[in-house]
Amino acid sequence: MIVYLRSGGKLHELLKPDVDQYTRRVETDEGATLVEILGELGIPLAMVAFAFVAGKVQKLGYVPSEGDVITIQSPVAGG
Amino acid sequence: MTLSADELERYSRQMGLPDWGGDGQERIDTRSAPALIAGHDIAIDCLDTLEARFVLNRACVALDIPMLYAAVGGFTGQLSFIHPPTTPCLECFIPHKIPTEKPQVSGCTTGMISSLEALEAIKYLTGIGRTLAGRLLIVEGVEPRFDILEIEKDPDCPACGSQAE
Ligand SMILES: [Zn+2]
Repeated sequence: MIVYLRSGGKLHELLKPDVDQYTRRVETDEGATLVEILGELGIPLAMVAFAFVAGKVQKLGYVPSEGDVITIQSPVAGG
Repeated sequence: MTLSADELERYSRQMGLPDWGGDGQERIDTRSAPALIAGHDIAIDCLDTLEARFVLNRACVALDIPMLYAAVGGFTGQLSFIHPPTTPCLECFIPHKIPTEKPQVSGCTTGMISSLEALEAIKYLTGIGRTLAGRLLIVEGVEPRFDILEIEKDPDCPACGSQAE
């Protein structure tokens, strides 16, 4: 199935976008978790705090559905 | 864009942060946090590490004090109003052990998020409008993009869940 990963922040260089400036099309197995998808793309888990899909925050154990647009967020610590 | 170590140091000096030991300054840790916030109506996070935010989050949960979470990195900002059990807490959506690098922060991102944070505090304290309770604002300044997201409580949260430590 196809899902779309996006990041406008720090992770966007690692993501290697190919759909637009911030989005990468990813072909993955149905039932794969976000952790597994990130692993396949070589994105270190330590660099991803959480993700969001359709206006809702999701943890990395999230199991995407076909066509999901998943925005990944790196931890931000400054203030 | 990544600043070199030298550029980062020069930029940080521009921030003009006073040395530790000034009046009213105290380092926050698990021992000092409860005393720092006890008796206050709200804790407004202006901290510079996630670790310190987790300490503040736990103290706020323990003392039932609302906390404004605000954090910035680069051109990204996050903001939420946290007050369990009505809302999720910080550890409901950010894993406790996640490491962070020394942040490189643009002053304009900090200025924007801190102004919105002040607005959240004013709304809560005066009872006007609607706070970001149970919601997380994420600003990606580069795109630019503003998202307001729903956050859910984690029943297994180590800070506010049923099995809280
Ligand atoms: Zn929690």
